Amino acid sequence: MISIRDVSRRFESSDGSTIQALDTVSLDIRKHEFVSLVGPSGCGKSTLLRLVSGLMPPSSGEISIAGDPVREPRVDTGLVFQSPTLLPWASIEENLLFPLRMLRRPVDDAARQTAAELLELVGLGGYAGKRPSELSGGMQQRAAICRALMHDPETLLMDEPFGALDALTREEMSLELLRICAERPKTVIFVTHSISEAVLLSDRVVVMSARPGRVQAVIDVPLPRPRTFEMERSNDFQDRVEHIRDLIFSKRAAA
Amino acid sequence: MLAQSAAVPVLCLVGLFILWEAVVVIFQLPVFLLPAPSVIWTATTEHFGTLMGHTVVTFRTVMYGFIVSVAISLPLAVAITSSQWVANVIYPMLVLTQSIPKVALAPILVIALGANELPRIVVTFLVAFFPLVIAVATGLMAAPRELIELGRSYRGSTWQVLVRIKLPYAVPMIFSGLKVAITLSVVGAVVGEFVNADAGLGYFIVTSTAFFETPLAFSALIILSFMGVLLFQLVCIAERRLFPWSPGAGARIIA
Repeated sequence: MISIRDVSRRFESSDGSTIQALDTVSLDIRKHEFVSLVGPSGCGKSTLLRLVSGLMPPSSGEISIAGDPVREPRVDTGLVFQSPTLLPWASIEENLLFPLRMLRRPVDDAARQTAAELLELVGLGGYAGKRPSELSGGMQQRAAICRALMHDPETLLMDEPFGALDALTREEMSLELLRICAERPKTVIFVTHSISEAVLLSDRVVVMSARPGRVQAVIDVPLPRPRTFEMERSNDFQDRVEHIRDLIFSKRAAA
Repeated sequence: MLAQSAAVPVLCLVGLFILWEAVVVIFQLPVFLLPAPSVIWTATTEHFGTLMGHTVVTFRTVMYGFIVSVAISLPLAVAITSSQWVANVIYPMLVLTQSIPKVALAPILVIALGANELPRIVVTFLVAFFPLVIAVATGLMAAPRELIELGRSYRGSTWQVLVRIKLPYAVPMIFSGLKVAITLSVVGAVVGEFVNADAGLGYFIVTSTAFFETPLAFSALIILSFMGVLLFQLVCIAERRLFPWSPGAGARIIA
């Protein structure tokens, strides 16, 4: 459904030299598939996500979603960043309505109802009227995920969404995300630094190599769903985590 | 709480006036050199009508100058932050207007614009607008990059991103700029009146001192300070009322 064809992206750095962030990356992602991007810092994971979101164009190659080339931000994608990036002056409900206001869609009772349901889904039922500063980091990030789901996008693009959370909250949020995806199936591209998180959540894990960013390997994770933390103890799970770790570090040692 | 927070500065002020009175009495200072507060008070009450007439004239210049400053600074700051090219064109000119001594410019403006209120308003504007432009421009750049990307990902126009993200983020900075600008407007109006006026507190100080009516000059001076403090407080109250979430609204140290 998402097709990434020979995509490269170069940046002009401040001293005038060119940085090759992504080099001929090709990847096909099926509808409602959960794909994680892992790799060392500077491998272009976030860049790839921004290219898919249409926020920046590739230097060469083409990305298309459902057959349409991506040339600008699309209505059917939702973004989640590492920081919650909520509007500090607006209530949680207002923050959830923000995408609709930007998209110039009607903000009516139905929209408020959707917001209330989403907040209920992530356990923030009583927080619609609160300001972001009154919520913990984990709760803010949940609100940010709800915001990305407000306009019911087909695709969720998540850039290290749990990266700023503590370890316990992070595990809790992983389960939360699995539950959300089970209830409302989405195509998800998920950037993370945590290998076990990637394996736990994903149907496939894309391992990328550092500068220039290339697809080094694509690992299938055929574990059954719904996923649970107990699976982390299974050999299947551990083998995959080890395999991915070897891929990332052997490459680095060789370089 | 308000009464309590006001009590300390009022007491300090009363103490200062008592000390002033005592110094004048003990050292038997001549009235034309330093009049005692009691003498100033008597002079003020005797010439109350005249003083109020001049106060209204100055107040009008201050307000016109301030309003023109706001009306020009906001769009100017938006233009500066919209592109590097515009910033490169406008910034040097802004700095140039600031390096010209306004007192020296005022007589030239009188020739160009006529001996009326207009050159005084222009001088007031020139004194007051610069810190406001800088504050608003800084504020407009305070919004996190990811939030702007989020706005763009929902296909938000430049205008929507400005109104829904950048401007609200700039509110605390805009108000700190407004606080400086309103105070400088009083300064600018008096500078204008020193050079060319047939009314206003600045004009009144010039004529009073010419006739060694020092108590009246002091009356005008004190009215000017009160005007500055009052207008400053009005800006603070406006910030608290209109934007209670602004960090500046809660900060009692500066507000």
